Amino acid sequence: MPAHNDNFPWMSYYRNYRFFEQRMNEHSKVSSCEQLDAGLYSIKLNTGKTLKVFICECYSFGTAEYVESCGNYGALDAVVISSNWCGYGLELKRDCMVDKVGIFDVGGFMAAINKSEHWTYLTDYEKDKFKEYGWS
Amino acid sequence: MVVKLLAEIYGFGSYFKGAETFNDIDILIVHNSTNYESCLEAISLKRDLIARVEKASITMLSKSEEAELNFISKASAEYLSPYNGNNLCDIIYIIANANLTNI
Repeated sequence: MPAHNDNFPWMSYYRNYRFFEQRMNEHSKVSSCEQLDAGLYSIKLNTGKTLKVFICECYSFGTAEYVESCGNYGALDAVVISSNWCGYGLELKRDCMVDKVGIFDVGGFMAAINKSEHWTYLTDYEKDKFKEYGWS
Repeated sequence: MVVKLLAEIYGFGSYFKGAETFNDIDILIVHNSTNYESCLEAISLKRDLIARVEKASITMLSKSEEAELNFISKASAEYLSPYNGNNLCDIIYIIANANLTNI
């Protein structure tokens, strides 16, 4: 595992993700939530599937940040952008879906893990945008 | 010699508004595309800036991602410089002086 620095993995202001951990531990589809490293979690689902999830707070999560995250942590199953003032691009979300990787906010990830193919989950806004862009 | 434009550099946040105190120096790298090579260029530039600019906090977006998110407008980001792979020192100089020029 590479050494951390101040600019990776973009920890929360409080240097933890307690809210995310609480939501995971309360989720009916989650059997365990284990922190592997700063910002990196192993989420075991009741189905037996285990997801490697990167969670971060950064102003805007784009493709280069995704490439950098995979370079640091290896292949991921999902990226969760944790705070309300941060976001991600739909172009990245679309491209990651091809590789069965989901890009979500916390609420989106909570909903996505109810599906057998978590990476396919789209919010209503995203569904509309995907239609508008001719991606679906 | 043809000089390639690899990215464009913007500043945003309190440092670039001339604040006397600031937590971070927020810098946006807008690189050419979402292809792998362009992303690696942006990551390399990010690492160079972090190594040389104390408190640098870097956001990276491709041109198309920036257009989709409208980040420059929303963050009231200020254009600093193009990046061609050979002008890192110029960019660092511009960043170092941006707080002074905005006071």
